[in-house]
Amino acid sequence: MATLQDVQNIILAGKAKLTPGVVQEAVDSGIPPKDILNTMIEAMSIVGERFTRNEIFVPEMLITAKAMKKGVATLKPYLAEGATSAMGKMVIGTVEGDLHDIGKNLVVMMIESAGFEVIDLGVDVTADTFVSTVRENPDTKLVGLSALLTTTMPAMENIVAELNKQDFRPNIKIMVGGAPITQEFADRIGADAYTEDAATAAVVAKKLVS
Amino acid sequence: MKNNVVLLDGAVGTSLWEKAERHGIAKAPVWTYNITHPELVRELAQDFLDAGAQIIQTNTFGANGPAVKRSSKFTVPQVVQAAVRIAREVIGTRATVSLDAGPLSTLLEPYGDMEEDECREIYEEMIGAGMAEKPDCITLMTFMDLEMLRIAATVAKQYGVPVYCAMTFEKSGRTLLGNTVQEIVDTLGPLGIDGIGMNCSLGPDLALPVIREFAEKTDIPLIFKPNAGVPVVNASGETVKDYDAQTFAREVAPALDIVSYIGGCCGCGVDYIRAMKELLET
Ligand code: B12
Repeated sequence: MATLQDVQNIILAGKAKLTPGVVQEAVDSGIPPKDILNTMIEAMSIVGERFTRNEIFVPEMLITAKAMKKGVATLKPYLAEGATSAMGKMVIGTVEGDLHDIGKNLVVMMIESAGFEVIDLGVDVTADTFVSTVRENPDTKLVGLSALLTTTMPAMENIVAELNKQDFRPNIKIMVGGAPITQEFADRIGADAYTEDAATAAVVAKKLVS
Repeated sequence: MKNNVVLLDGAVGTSLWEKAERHGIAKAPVWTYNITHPELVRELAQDFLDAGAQIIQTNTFGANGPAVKRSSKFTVPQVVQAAVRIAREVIGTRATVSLDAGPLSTLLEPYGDMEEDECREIYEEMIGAGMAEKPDCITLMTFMDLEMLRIAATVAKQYGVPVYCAMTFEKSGRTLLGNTVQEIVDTLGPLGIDGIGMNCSLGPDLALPVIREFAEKTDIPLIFKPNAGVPVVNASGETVKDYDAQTFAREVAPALDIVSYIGGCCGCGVDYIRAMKELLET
């Protein structure tokens, strides 16, 4: 019989292969699925904070994120519709010309754990794709852009400019990030928020929609 | 005095993008230029040769199967073989032509979903295609996962040419996926590679301690190819490099006593190689 503590431990240990089994056992022991989800979310935020404090590094984050993903997949059929997306929808992608996605994927995982439904457009995403995706998903609350190259920062600027022209602009908040991005740059191009790391991105995302 | 140190080239990726911009050519994955704008690639190889580089990399760093499929209508052999032919045409036997291969953009298990077999097949295709045009050696650069580098190096070692391996390091003195110099030496040493070391990373000052650690831990000839710092975009939107060519050469100088191969990575254009050449001659 698995307890909530077991679920939390297995996520913290990043055991992606074992996580589905432990989550399933917890469900079978009659623990409410919603509580299991909250425990996993808590684990993810513990990991996120450790990452922000430089106590753990990218590999540990990647492994935990993978365990979390597997756990959520196991739990999903038992959860009420919308339980994992109560905060709203975020559209995210790495900007045109840029293929770096390790950081963006961590942001996706942290934001999902914070209760958002995330539409991940992947890498090398054009302004058109961002705009049409938001149009097709009128309930989008956040748009996230990632850029890791100084040479793709102009693409980020361009995508934000395109988004800023749209009639749906008042309904969304734009978040930007990636190693070369700064608060100053984010302000200059007209984005709503910048954060230095994935854990902080989740905290700020919650603030932006409340 | 230091003429036992072999001079490598500089950045292929960032230098080609600079050239493309000057010529008003659309920015694209740089390996596509082997077919669409071979004149750019030829010009860069010539620049590095003229600057004194003794080993010149082919423009193939990111030309692996998944990338070529995703961003072009070409095949891996088309792209990679065009690159080796261009390098050979320009260089002849005046310098060494090295087939360059970088990491894949997907992560291996347990960090990502890629299995070892799939990864090996991708490198077999890429390196196999390149070797058909008979480059003189193979360089595997900018890896951040030792396991991926081990797989690629095992493939590369089958061709009977020298194989050089370099990883990129974070501020922590480890790779992005946490590998230490000791682990790297222990894993790659037994494969019988011909050179080992570091490239790219975060600029020469942060790179020196890492290359010194290699010197302490292995007798394999060392490769040192740091980048010109991490470029930053200032408030007015201009890109500025941390290190200009002269500063860069001065900063790498202390490594000349321990390394066998020296060059530059991202941000290091031809002027950086020229500055290092002067350094080697004094
Ligand atoms: C891994 C890597 C690659 C891999 C990418 C694999 C992948 N799937 O992502 C590969 C090998 C493919 C690659 C290729 C290239 N790379 Co590269 N790469 C790196 C490296 C080593 C690590 C990047 C990384 O993943 N960091 C770890 C993550 C966790 O950090 P992060 O991305 O910053 O994300 C965090 C925050 O920024 C934030 N964040 C990120 N996105 C977002 C989004 C939002 C909305 C928010 C709020 C926050 C946020 O949260 C994240 C987690 O905390 C860096 C060097 C370095 N140490 O940074 C170079 C680096 C980024 N690459 C560089 C270069 C030059 C290239 C190439 C051009 C090389 C070449 N010769 O071809 C190509 C370009 C390919 C392309 N078109 O994109 C340069 C960029 C220099 C510049 N001009 O800006 C760097 C800095 C290396 C260097 N020192 O010069 N690269």
